[in-house]
Amino acid sequence: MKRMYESVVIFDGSLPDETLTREQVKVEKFLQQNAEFERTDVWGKRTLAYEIKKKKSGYYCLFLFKGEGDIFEKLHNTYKLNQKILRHMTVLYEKEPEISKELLDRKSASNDSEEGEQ
Amino acid sequence: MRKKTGRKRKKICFFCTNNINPSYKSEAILKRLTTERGKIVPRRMTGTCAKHQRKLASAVKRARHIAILPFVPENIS
Repeated sequence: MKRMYESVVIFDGSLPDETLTREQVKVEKFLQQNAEFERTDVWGKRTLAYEIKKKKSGYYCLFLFKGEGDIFEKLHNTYKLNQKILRHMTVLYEKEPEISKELLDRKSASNDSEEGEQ
Repeated sequence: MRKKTGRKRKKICFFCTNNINPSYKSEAILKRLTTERGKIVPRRMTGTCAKHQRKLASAVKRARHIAILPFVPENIS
């Protein structure tokens, strides 16, 4: 059964932009050949919460694709061989929640009142 | 003896009220529901319902894996 998956890949953020886009396209091509590739969401460069392989920043990409379960092993193998990839994670697709700024502000407001009561 | 702290206000689940699900991508929400030392806040403190607390726990763990959230307080700036 084909299911929708999403794969987060963190490339080494210290690499030049051209290399990063090239690596991104490489993964996209692999997915096009082995699964039904849908799209890529680029999160861009961001600081890592902790160092991975002594690197402090990473270039995040989210690949969305549809495929059979065996794609996991193939993907994992290709990621593992690529030294420019710091970390990767493939999970079942989940819809991104729509969070407005207002919602976050309201949450903080309610948190404050709770703290006040305790 | 336990101190009486006045009338208790019923806490409501943040995810149920806003009709959203916890996701490892929503960093801002995950940060609110973890302590400053990076631990997951228990649901007795936040009022999150059991179903969403379970999902929140796995979302936090996923976020830690992809370095969105830290594992240990040493990495919190």
